[in-house]
Amino acid sequence: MSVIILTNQPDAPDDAGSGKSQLYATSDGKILQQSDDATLATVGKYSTGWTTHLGGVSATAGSLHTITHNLGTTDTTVSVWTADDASGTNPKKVEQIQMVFNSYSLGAFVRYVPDINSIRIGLGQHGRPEMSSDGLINFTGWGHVGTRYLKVVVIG
Amino acid sequence: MSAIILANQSSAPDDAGSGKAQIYAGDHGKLFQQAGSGAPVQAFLNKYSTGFATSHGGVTVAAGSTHTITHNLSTTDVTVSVWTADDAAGSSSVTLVDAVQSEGGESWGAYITDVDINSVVVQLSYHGRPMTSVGAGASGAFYHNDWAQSGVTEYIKVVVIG
Repeated sequence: MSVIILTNQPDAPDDAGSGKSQLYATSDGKILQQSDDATLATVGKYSTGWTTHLGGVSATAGSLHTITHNLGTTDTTVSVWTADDASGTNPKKVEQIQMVFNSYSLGAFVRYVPDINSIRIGLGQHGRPEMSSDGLINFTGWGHVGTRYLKVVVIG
Repeated sequence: MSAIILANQSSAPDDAGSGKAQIYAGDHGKLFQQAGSGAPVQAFLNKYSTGFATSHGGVTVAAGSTHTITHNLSTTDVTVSVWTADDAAGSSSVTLVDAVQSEGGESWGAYITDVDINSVVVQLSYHGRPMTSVGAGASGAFYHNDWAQSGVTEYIKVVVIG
C-alpha cells in the first residue's frame, strides 16, 4: 500500500481499546488521533515561503499583511521570520511581540480577523529587533538587507 | 477505509528499509514516522486549546494572575501560544500575546513559566496585553490595554501543540 485514504466519518468511531491507537477523519476531513482515553486533534502547517511582499504588501512601518493559510482553525501558533534573500540566508525569528525601548517599536504583531483561514501580521514602527553576540538588542529597519525577505509559518 | 488502528509498541520496530516509510504507535500512543532507516520522528503533532474564557485553571484573568493549563498531550516538547480577545467568540481584538515587553518599567503580555508532560503554567503580566496600531496610515507604535479595562472583559485562549 502506498497511500492510505480515510473516509470522513460523521461520528467518532468506537474507541481503539487499551494499548492501541487509531486515526480517523471527521466529517470535515480533519484527522483526529485517539489513544487510550484521549482524542487529540492533529495539526497542519502553512508557510508563505520567503517573499518581499507578504500577503501582497511590502514591509514597512505599520504595514498590515493578511496571510491566508486555509487551515480551517483559529487555534494556531504563528512564527514570523526574516532573511537577507529569497534563499533564506541569515534567517532570524521575529518575536510576535517585541520590546519597546527608547520609544522604538520593534518586531511583528499577530492578530487574526474572525476567520478560521487567515491571520494578520502588523509590523512595528522601527524595524526588526535582533540580539547581538554580546546579548544586546539592536534593530534593522524594514526594507533593508536582513529584513527585505519575510516568511510566516502558521501551525494549527 | 474509515479508521487505522495500530497496536502501541514498547520499542521501535525494525527499520522500514530503503525506499519505504512506516508509521507506528509508541508506548504512549504517539504516532511516529520513519523514512527508510532514518531516525523516527513524531508523525502527527497534537493540539490542545482552552477556547476563549475569562477563567483558566480555576483562576480569573487579571493583572499578574497565574494559570495552570492541563493539556494531556503527554510531552514537554510543546509550543504554546496565548491569545486574547474582547469576547468569548474570539471575534473582537484578537491578539497573540505570548511574549513580554516593557516600557518605563511596565510589564505587558504573557509568559510561560513552567511545563510538565501534561500541563503548562501561564503567567500574565501586571500591566496588560500589548497592542499596536497597524494598517493604512498607522505608525506601528505599540501601546497596551489593561487586563481588566472598564467595560472590557479580557478573554484568554491558550493553544498547546506538541
